[in-house]
Amino acid sequence: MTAPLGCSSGHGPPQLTVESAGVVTVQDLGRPGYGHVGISVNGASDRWSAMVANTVVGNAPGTPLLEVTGSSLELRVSADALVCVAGAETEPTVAGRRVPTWDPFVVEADTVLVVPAPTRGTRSYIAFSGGLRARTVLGSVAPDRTLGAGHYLGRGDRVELTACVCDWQHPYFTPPVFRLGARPPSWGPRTVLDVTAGPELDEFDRADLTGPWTVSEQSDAIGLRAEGSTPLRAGNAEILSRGVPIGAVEVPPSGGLLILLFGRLVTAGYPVPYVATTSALDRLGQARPGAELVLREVALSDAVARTRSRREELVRLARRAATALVSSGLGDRVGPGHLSEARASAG
Amino acid sequence: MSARLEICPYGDTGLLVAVVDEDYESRWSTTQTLATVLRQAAPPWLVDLVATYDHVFVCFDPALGDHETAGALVQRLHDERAADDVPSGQVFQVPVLFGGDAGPDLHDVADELDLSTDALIARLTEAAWRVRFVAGPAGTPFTDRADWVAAIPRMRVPRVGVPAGSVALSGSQSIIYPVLSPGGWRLVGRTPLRLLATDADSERLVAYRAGDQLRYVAVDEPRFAALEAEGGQLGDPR
Repeated sequence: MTAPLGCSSGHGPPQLTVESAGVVTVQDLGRPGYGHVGISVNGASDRWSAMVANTVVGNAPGTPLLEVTGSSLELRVSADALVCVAGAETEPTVAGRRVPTWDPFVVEADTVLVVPAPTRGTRSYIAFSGGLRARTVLGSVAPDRTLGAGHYLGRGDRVELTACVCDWQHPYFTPPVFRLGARPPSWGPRTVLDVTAGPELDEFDRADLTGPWTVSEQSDAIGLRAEGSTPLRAGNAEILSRGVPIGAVEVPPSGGLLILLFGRLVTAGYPVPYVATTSALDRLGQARPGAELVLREVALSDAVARTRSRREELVRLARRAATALVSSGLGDRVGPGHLSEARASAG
Repeated sequence: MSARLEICPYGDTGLLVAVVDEDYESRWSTTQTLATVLRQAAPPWLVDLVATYDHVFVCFDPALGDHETAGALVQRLHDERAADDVPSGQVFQVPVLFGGDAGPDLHDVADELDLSTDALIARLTEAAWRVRFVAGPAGTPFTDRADWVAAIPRMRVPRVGVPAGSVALSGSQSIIYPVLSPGGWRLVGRTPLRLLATDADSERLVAYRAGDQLRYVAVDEPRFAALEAEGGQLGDPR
């Protein structure tokens, strides 16, 4: 039982203990790269929020963190931890006092972090500086029933943290610790889903695909079902099973739309008039059953540009986080993420 | 070598490559050859790749590549490939307990094909099934056979939980479910062998690949139980 490097508090390996939980899993960015053997990607449904939460506490974007879906979570930590909550709109508290979202804050040892059920959106991500330690299958902690992978957390469950921030004295110890400029999404009355043209768009009337659609209760991590009148397809040529991207907007014969999410099987045989953009997938990860969904066709070049600019935004955020953490004396204490770069540049 | 490619965007990080050729076998061998040479070329932007009967889905990292770069490389590899050559590969013996709880749809499928169950088992085991590609759920081999043309319909209502090892038919294809999963294919038997090794690296998660052949061998209940107790994996040397 040794405390992490630099900690003199004498506690054992730091851990969190779940006091109460709705639907809570340990998540990361799943298992990309196994498509040729039919392994689904899985992982966080709103990847942007998960990556931001990790990034602002100095972690690599895919570090294991908690995902809370449409419910609440209360947990206690055994050592001081640097934490970020991002994703759905919610008002987390530590020991009863409000803490920020989308920026880092400290949860002191033996205090309780409460993340209430979201007021808008559906998934909250809770990242811990250094990350969580959990069993991996094919390199990922992400749940996948077919692989027997995943950690659904309930009351009394414990998860090991890989770092603590005990003894850290910061002039602005009460939250927020830093303001790093990560922006929450804007929540409108309906979810507007940006899509680009897919291989079978010509076989449909665009007006039949736009919506508004209603997000079905039948949705899960494999696919989001959108209820509405079934678009008519011109022609009925059989489509042999072929690889399908995450975000594929399928028109199944059973009606409505099926939009494939990160748990999708790697092949399918339905017509694909549209594919949701990378950033639109994050919106889908926050869509609630019953919500209204509208498809908006965008140019491929715009979608690519947006995906790239978001990637660059994440890199800038990582630099700001690393600079803030290193200059606060936390450089040796937290995350294996982007800190090495900042340490090097800080001399 | 006459196959032509149709390459189109498939989302902001993907391409769909359709292989156009009149012949089923050459479409498939061109598709699989293209996937093999692309994986060997290992461009830095390549994230994932799914090759099936006549399509290759290429997923790329938008920070390192784009539709033009990826499409140009795919076309060049296609133009420069020496020949479409999918090795006929290994033949795997797959012990199968047909019928009963292991294959609850055997009777119905036999009826639909106007065969006795024994005759259907004889047909299913008389030749090897060629793996056309491996897909989901988790390592499923999609196979067919030149001398087996059928139009077996799927379940009207898919099963919620198909046991791992289930040998199934649909259309003219046969698959084995590697893991417990939902599924709508018709179940005719089950193998006691494990198909998927999740502790292995990505090349060896399953023993078979496109081009390999699966030969179903009928076993009785005691043999099935003995093999199940051994806990062997398909492809283990024995």
